[in-house]
Amino acid sequence: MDLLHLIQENQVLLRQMGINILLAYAMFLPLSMGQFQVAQPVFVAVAGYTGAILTLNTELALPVKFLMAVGASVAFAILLAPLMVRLSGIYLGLTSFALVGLVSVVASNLQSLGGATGLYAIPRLVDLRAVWITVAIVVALAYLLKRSRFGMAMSIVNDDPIAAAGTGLSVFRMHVYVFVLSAVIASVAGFERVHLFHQINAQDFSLHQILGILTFVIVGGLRSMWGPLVGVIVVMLIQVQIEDVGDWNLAVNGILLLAIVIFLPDGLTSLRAGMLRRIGRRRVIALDGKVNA
Amino acid sequence: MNPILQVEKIAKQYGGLRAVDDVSLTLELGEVVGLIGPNGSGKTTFVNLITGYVEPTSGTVTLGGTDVTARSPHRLAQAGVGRTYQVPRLFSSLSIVENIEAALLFVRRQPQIWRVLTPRTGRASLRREAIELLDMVGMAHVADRGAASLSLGESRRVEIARGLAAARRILVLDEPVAGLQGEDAMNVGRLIAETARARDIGVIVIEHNVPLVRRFCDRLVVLNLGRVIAAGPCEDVVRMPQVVEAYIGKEASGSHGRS
Ligand SMILES: Nc1ncnc2c1ncn2[C@@H]1O[C@H](COP(=O)(O)OP(=O)(O)O)[C@@H](O)[C@H]1O
Ligand SMILES: [Mg+2]
Repeated sequence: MDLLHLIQENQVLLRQMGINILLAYAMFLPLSMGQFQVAQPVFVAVAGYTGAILTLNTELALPVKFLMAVGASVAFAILLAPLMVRLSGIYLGLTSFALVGLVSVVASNLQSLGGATGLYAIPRLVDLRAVWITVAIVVALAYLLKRSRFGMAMSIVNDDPIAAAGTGLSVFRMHVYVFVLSAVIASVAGFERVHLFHQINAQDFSLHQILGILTFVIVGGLRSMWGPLVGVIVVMLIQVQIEDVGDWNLAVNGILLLAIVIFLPDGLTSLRAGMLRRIGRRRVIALDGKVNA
Repeated sequence: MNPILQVEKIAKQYGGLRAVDDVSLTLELGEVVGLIGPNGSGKTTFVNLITGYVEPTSGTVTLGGTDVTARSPHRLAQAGVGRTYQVPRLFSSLSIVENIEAALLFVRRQPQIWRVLTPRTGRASLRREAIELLDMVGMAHVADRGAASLSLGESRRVEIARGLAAARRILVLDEPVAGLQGEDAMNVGRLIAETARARDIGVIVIEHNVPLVRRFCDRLVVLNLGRVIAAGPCEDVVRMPQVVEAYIGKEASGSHGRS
């Protein structure tokens, strides 16, 4: 069976996987800097509903709708960021959690957003290819970011924000930047998702969904920029295998998460880095020649 | 000559405790001032006040003629204030040379998110500058090792180099030789004094080791319970009865009173 066939047969899985990778990166970036917030579904919702309303009610071109929906969501993030990142540690986390709950309640009670049923019959304007091109862009961006000065600044804020400030870095500004960057990715994912799955409703922004994305991120690991990619692919492939077990699905998820946290706290990508290092060491010894005993 | 740093009656109140109580101090370029005093006398709090980590209850800090009272730490670093911490705070995910490069970079310019194509350690001149600083503290030979692999003494040296990267005007050292043995401590002391003169910066150094500060500091300020109880040239200060009683007496009687 060739690749094209494989893709054809797994359209649904690949769509979901692409969106999940975007969401995982949106959650990963702030967490990797020690910014403990899970507000991403808020921006998925704002961009998603705005996009859906534009598509259902106007004849605007797709790029225009994209810019309007993502723009509105990011503008909201820019207003919110300075307020949010002033909170620290667990308070920021709890507030972001509460915000997601709030958006979910508001969405399911606003008639203009379709109430509990949400909005549906949204034309499919985004295809699988577009989603995976976006994934490629986000992964490339994350890779470049990590190697850039901005990435270095993210690392030192995560290592020690007090000493980071002592080197002249504005830690507050870094937090605002990363909050907004996370929102940009979440907004793009939100816009693409409604136009991929025809529908949007309050369940898409539940606390349950936060936990799902968090699982990808933790399983992949926070130390490597490849973490979210690896996490989503591995966890989703496992999930597909155990689809038949029905509700046990959740339990398996929980066990997986627990196993990672206990045995591989830095996630699957730490395994890879560790293996490479060990292989590298063996080669050095072999070249040295002295350690032949 | 105008002092580079002028602290006027600075105070910090924690509830009922006046941790720093109307302390004044001036510092000239090229000068090393030793700040001594028993544990809990307010030395670290004073350092945190002048580097922006703690907001003063009252008093002012003037740096190079500009009022910088209650400025945030990163803006003070940008203004030329470098420091070390009582417990070293190196960036553990970075290499040793990157620790220095980070300070050289961010003290001059904030990182911009849209410049993702600028690699973190782009120019060779940046690395050269960082290696030069590491060389001053005798750590250039381990430049590419991870910062997490260092001993306490080595961490302190690297931290001094990182502090120097920011210290265009003043360098503040919080117990830079604590935990080091005799010869090592003397070397670091010499290094600090030489650096202050060579780079023409003002240095404030907190230290318990009285023989060391006597040797390498130009002046001493003695704190006790948040107040200045003595200040002046080293040889005068160490003989003042209130100093002997509050602090040095303990050293002389054999208990080193360190934490
Ligand atoms: N954040 C704080 N809150 C309350 N009290 C503090 C705080 N920081 C320091 N203190 C108190 O202020 C006093 C001076 O502490 P410190 O400046 O660390 O002294 P030193 O560095 O001379 O040992 C101590 O009594 C300490 O307990
Ligand atoms: Mg102290």
